[in-house]
Amino acid sequence: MPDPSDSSSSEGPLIDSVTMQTGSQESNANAGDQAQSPSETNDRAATGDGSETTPSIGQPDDSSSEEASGQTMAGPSPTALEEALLNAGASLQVAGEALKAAGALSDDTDAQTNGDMQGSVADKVQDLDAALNDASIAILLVEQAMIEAEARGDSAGEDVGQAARLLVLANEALQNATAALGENPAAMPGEILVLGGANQDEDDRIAAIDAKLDASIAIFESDVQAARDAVAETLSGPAAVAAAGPSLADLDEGLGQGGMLSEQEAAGSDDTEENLEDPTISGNAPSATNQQPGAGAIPDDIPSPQGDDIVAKQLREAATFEQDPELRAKLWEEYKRYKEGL
Amino acid sequence: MLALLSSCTSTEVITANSTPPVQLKTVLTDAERLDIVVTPFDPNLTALADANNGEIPVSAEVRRAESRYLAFHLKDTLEQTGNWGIVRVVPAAAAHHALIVTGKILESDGEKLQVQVNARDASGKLWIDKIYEDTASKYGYQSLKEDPFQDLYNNIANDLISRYQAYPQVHIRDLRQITQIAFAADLAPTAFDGYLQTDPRGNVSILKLPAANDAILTRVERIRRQDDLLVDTLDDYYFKFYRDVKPSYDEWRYATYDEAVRLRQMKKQARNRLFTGAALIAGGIYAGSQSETWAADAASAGAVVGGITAVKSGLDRLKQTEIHEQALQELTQSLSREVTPNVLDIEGTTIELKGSAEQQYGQWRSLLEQLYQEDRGPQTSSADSL
Repeated sequence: MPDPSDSSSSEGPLIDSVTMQTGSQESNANAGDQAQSPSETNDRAATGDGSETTPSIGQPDDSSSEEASGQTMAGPSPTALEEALLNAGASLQVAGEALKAAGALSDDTDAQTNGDMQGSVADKVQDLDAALNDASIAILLVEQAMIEAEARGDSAGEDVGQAARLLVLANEALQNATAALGENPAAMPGEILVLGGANQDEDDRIAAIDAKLDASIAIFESDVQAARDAVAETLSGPAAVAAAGPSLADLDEGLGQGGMLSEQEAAGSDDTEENLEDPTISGNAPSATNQQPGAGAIPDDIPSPQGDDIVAKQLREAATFEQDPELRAKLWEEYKRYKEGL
Repeated sequence: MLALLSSCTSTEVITANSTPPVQLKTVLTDAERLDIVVTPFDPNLTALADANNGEIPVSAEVRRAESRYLAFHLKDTLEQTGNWGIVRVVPAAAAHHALIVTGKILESDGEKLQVQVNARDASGKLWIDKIYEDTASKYGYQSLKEDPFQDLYNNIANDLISRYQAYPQVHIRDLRQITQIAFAADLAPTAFDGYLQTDPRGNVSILKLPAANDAILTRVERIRRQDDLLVDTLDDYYFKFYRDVKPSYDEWRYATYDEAVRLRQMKKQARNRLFTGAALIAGGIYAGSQSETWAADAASAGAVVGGITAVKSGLDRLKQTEIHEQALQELTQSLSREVTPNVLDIEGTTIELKGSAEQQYGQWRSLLEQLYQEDRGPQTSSADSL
């Protein structure tokens, strides 16, 4: 992970350094209190110990740089993900430099009166916008790489996951600092301000808000998916077997095995025997509770269970709990084919 | 329901099976399938004091566990029919849910289950508001191929599908649109103000539809996918709760079934005998006071003695009921101790997930508002279509 620039400036509330740390960190929240919601959510996942952290804005943190330089990727390191992280870090560093340069010119009183220098300010603003866009794109690539790594079942390591989350926070911090440079006292908290006045194009403002929205959605999705993975891990672990007792042993066969009636059969048929012996849908979610999961983890190429309908869900659970490896492979294959058709 | 199967060895095997739920024969398209959310049933804790003065002891902890257990089992029953879209258990319903099923536990033990179920759709129409009751049979506990009260759940499922079939497809389509706009209006109220109308009776109707390429709606739909993911996750936690509690809860129902039946029988006998005995005594005393012969005296004395015997027998029965009451209480307390950690766990998890989601939604509302303001620029009205 590249060291961020930690040179400081005494001119205005600039981001002096973007620190990337692993583990718990405490920092002060500054402008853009809207960023606190996703950052808090993100930090809960990042720190894993419930401690609340918020991005560091305008607060040089020299002590972190040594830690940042010394941190290594724990565990197996997926190359694509590492590369994406490195690129994102570099992009953020460039954005930080551009922000510093733009801020320095913006605060220069001469620049506000000198026409030539106003042009330089505008150029710097454009460079900053480009750098922020590049950083946003790089972070989206990191998220994509993480999703792909998880889908492959690669163990990205806790450090990598936390580093990725910190990158998103850093991107937010950069955007908030950009907004703070506008120095508009009438601005509502969290509102994206116009740097350099009314020169910023409306599309750019919308793009900036969209980037913020995208980043927060990505973080939220990551956190919720993590919660879902946690409960899925619990469900696929050693299942709670039904309590002792011969009558309760039949619970292994699950509920709702009484069978289903079609509309016409329900209207007039007395042939309940046949219906009871031929359930339309066999098995259900709770029936899996008393089964042991099949050996081996979920294959790497299995898509996410998000949005599964009842058929997909049953296929997935049947495959998870199937003991026969050959049959299990066929069930996973069927699940994948069904998901592709959805 | 009993199904009698006879084999060539003339052995009768009696199995208890529920009335199967109806499954539509026609294949529904995705657009025709309605999504359902089921909320944890009201445990009816305020009525516990009265319930505990009744026959079967009730525990608040058991009721809290049952409120989620019953809801999830209903969700599973509905899902198994294949008649619906996505069926999930959520901590609380919202305006953007197409069909919301809620319930209230009125009575629940190993022998009897009575719940009041209410189902209302996003347009405010009431689908069902009914009390369902089921009594388990001993055969249902001897061979637990299904829940002893599966009849009750199947009846609810059948009533819901009957109501679904009674509505025209245009209403189902409207529901999907209402839920889409309601969700959007919750996140971006300014952008979607005036799209839905709610009358004083709570009926919701569509006034206008957003453009297919509405920029804010596109973003809202992205957020809605996150909401769906959150709902899926919450449902998974409810499934975990259901799975963890099930063995203990089934054992409790099985163990309390016999006790509950005997307790009710004994109390009934005790009441009858006490009443009969008291009547005999009263009758005998009166007859004795009116009698003029020895035989009449003997008869009235016999009535009094018979009455006293009956009263004594009734009191003995009452004493025996105490034994069964105690047994039930112990069983219930034992289950309470077992399920309380699970209840606390699911309550904590849902609160945490919901809380963090609400926080995030607050930020999204702000961002969408900013986007809307930027998009409309200096215009006084947004570009929307009818």
